[in-house]
Amino acid sequence: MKIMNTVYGFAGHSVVPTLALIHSNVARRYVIMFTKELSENKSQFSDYIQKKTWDIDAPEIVLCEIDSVGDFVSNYNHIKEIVDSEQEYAIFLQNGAKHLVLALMLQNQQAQRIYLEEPLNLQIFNRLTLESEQTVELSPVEVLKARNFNINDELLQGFVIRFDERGRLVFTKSVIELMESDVSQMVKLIGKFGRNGAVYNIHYKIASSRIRNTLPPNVHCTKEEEE
Amino acid sequence: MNKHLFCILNANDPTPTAYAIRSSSYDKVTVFILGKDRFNERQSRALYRFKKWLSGSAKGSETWPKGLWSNSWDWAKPQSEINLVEVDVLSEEMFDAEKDSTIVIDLKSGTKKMSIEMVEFAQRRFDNPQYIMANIGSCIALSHGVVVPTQHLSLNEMVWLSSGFVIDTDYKPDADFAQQSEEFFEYKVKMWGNNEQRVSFERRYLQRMGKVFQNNESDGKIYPDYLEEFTSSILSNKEEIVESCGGVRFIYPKRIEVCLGRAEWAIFPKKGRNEFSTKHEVELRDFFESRASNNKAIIDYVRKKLHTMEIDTLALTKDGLMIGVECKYGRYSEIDVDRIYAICSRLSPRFHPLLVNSKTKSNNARNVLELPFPFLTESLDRILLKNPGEYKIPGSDVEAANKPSKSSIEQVKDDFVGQEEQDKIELDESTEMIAELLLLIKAHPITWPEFYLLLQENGVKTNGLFKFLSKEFASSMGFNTQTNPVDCGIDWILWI
Repeated sequence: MKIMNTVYGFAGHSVVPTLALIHSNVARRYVIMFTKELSENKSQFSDYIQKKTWDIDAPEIVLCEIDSVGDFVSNYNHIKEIVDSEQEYAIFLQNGAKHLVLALMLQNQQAQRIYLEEPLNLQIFNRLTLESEQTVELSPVEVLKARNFNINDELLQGFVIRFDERGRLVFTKSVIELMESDVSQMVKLIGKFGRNGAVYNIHYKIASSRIRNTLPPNVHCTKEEEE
Repeated sequence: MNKHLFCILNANDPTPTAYAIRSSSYDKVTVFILGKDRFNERQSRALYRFKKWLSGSAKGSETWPKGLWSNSWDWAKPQSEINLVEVDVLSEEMFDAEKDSTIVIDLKSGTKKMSIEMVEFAQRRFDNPQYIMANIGSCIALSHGVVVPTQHLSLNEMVWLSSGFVIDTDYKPDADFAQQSEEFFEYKVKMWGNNEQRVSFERRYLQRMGKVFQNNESDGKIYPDYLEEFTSSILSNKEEIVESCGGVRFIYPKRIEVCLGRAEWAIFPKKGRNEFSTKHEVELRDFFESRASNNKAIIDYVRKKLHTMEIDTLALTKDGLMIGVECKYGRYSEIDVDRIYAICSRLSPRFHPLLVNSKTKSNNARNVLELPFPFLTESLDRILLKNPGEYKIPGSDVEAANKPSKSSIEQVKDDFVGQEEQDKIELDESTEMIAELLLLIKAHPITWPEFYLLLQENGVKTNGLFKFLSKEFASSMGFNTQTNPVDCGIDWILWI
């Protein structure tokens, strides 16, 4: 696969697509744009990049902050300023709010387009024609690191962490009796990884409806039969 | 020259597709319905609602008693020639338009990949197509990097498109009345029988708002009844609100029998019948038996009682959020709180439930903000915060971690309050007064709500006050403010 000079893209609530991109070795330089709402993710990602040791030649990774997601006019101009169309570049269209992704695409219609197909398959298109694709190797631990966690972190205690068949990070906790502390742990985890940034499961044998009702709606709750 | 819009039906909720059609005056509209054969029941219902919306009325094939359907429940149907095209996948050939048409492509619905395909196909077929993303009340012109205002859908259309209910309302606040309800607003904290503190409208305020007290037991009803009017009025005053109405009944047209059953139950309650239903009992019972009446007053009366569910106030924001409010002047239970949440969640994917009460502090324990009614005058942004912290009525006897000593607030009040009643002063005209109060609270700290209300009591318009403080005073007077001032007791302001 030909290595490009720069790939421009947006960060999203899930860090997985951005990680897949920077581990793909498709470019020497990546410019990732973060909306104001994701400024905390940006600082975490910045820490991660600084600490990261690479098996390959380390790419240059530039993190830019743009305005709030709703401030379209300002972001439209930001994107124009950030993208250097004088060099060979591509655009990563997997992540980010749709109106921003489309603005990036419409401003750079001739640029190659990169998508991440599930689970972790990076595809490069010329307009609507698929030109090449490659599978990216990524571990759940790398995702945790990118969010400034390590596997022994207290918040992750009791969780099984894996990728699902779609390449999404899945947190699963199995308990005998569902307690307030489990709900609280889950709520904090969702706060860290985002409502749509991962999949959250709780398996329990006993739970009062009062506690169960306090679980956020995006937590998949499974009652297991008692032995 | 023809103006031709192409868009995709949003199969889960057709509201964005309706925004697109209303985003300009189009001569022709082509709506792609992708994968209709694979639609689930929910998506099929969404398509039905969309087609009814295009027809201008939610009334379908169901048999409604003659005269019962109100024309006010209908809306102006789109004037464009609309073509629904069922396809499995997008292709270049589907983009067909008259020569020299102005082509507009709405990219709001569909996945990112579909939108990118739409762009590519349109580029191949037409010269200079324009790309938009239509929202409620505004439209992103993607090709030009600007946002342009567009026509709003009515609350009735919005509710129909997202939920399949039509709404019947008792009133929409008159602009003058709504303005006065905020301008003249006065309340007091008073003790109930069991030593419980409650907030209450001042009687003279209600009189000023045209309520007539007769010094008998009917006077007591004026207070809870006015709370509904107050709520819809105060909401309608907020610049983010495009429509607000009170006494809202949701009617599911396909279930006319259920609606009539509930109307009958409401007209003939076990106790407390009203004068009309007592006087016209025979005619009303005849109507429910035969589903027909030649007396228009009977039909009109029944119509006002038809409902599948009802709430006290419904408001729509400029960005399409529906705010459903239950007003409880007296006691209520957790069931009432859960009920308003359940109703709102049926109305729209974008909803915000609110329970307005006469307590002295707020609660947010059941995913619904239970808000003392004086705080309705707060900015909408604050009321709609997911975790707004606690609102407390100043001077009410509420324990709190950082609650200032009574002497502190009293001290500030003594020095600051008690000025003559005056017209409301805009923030930028009242810098002296705000600066004076800031100096006072530097010596005698008080909480944010207390600060806020003190200014309000002194005639300062408090919309945008928090931002104004940071912008105008923070650096010159040397302080920082906390992000959630309500949460922080007296530490909402930190002096450097």
